[in-house]
Amino acid sequence: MTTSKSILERIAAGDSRAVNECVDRYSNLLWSLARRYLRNASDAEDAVQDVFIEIWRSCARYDPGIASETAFISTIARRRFIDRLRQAGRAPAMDSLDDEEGAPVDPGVAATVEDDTEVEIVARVLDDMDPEHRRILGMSLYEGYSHSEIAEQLDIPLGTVKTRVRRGLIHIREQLQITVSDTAGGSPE
Amino acid sequence: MSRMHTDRLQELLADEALAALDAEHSAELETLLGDCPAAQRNALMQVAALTQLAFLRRDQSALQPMPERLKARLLSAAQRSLTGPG
Repeated sequence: MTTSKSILERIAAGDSRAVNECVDRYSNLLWSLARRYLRNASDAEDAVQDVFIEIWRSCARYDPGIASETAFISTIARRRFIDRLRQAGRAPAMDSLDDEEGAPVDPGVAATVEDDTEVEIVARVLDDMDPEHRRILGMSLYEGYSHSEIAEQLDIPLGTVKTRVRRGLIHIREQLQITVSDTAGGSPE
Repeated sequence: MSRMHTDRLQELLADEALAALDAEHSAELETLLGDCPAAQRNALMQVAALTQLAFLRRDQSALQPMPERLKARLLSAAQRSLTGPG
């Protein structure tokens, strides 16, 4: 049986064409995430460059048996985005999404997200979640607001925000474990 | 590992994945982690990353093409990174 290697495995093996493929496949996805999470275009540019350099350096550690390529790359990205928020003093700069509104959507970006099984599972968990709980989680995880900013904007106690985002994240992890376990016919670790 | 220790570790790992860890709690997390396997340390961060992607999937208006000049900068950085020492 022939198994095609992932882009990351090919980069680790020294295939220079895979580097271009990696940028083609993931640049728009990571850019979209960075612009939404960090807001400031300059921060987003620096963060995305840091993410790709980290990808080149760590691709040898990628194990397709543990995570999808999209999950591996987006996890690196999330750590880098958090570092960037911290360096910028946490508050996301709400300055300039307007200049890119109406820019053409790359269908390849949507396909990368929609083809990933784990993202599909998480999307279903979010669909089933209470709308206010989902909103709080989205403001924290996706839009880069701090817990205190969320509490202020939604006029709810800070402790409630902290509890809901933590519980939301742990609930999603549990649902992922259950679904993956059911699919594999085994039990989670 | 005690139940209290495990609960506190999970709480701090969740805060780390939610970008809600200050320097003091970051140090506490490092102490509690000890020689905890990397996969366990990374698990909640990966869930947070997948959730970020799931939100992006719901928000099609946020999908944007990367500026070409940044893409060129990335490819140039890749060549330096892959051919450089280390």
